[in-house]
Amino acid sequence: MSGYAKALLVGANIPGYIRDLSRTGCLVAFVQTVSAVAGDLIKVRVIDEHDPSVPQFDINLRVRRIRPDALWCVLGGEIESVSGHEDENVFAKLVEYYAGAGT
Amino acid sequence: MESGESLVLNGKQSRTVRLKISPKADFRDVLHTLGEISIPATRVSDENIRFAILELLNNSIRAHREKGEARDICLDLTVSDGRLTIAIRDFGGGFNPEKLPYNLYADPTTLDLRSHAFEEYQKANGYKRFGMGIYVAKKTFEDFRLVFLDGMDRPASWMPGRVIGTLITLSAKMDAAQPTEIGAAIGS
Repeated sequence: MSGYAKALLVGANIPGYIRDLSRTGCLVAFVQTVSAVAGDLIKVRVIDEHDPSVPQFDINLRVRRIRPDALWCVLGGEIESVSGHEDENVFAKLVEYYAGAGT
Repeated sequence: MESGESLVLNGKQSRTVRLKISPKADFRDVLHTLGEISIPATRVSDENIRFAILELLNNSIRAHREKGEARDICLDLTVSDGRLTIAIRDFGGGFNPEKLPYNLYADPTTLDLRSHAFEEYQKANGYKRFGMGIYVAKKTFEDFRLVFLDGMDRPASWMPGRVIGTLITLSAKMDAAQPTEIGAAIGS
């Protein structure tokens, strides 16, 4: 468990949760089916509650796999970009924050 | 004790694991410790179980912080009689069920997550609250119970000021234990 933040599929406003998070990729578990296929580029708003220095920001995620189960629609993808230069720093902070989990 | 019938934390097996979580706890530590608990197999993946618990704990921690409540939140995981049971007890003051974007007591499979009520709730909370914690828990576990508690730890109907906390109990049937020995008779 290397990450936890709320997530929102921008445009469709489908809520979900960031599960694993690294500098290059993440898993997002959405509460309902997302109409995306491997190769699609989706925009996900990341909403963290636990590091006050991390405001909301958007990532552009290239979908690599989709794993629906009875409860979730889990998308795994590569983070192609973060929406703005300032947001890149925020994203780096969030990754660093959760990278320290358990240390 | 068979490992399939117990919980494991830090290499120790037990039928019960209790975590006392300070509202001031670093959430990374909550995430890490929960990830360290080995949970027996149920029909639901342990990943989904952990994330359902995490979402409820997140709500409890937020409620404690908003209320300035310093007491610990208590998370108990128990395996007994072929069931995994999880209890989360907080002192976060409860919540008004009527302010949820759905009927708390409804079957979660009948809820429309695209409903206007859900969307309005999320918008009104700047998408910082999804109103999903209980919904996710109800969908994840076969059995879900929520009780508001008063200052004497007695069950109470929702009323601001009278309710001081919430006890949520979740349970799921564990997968049947693997037999310790299997065999066959040949040529008899």
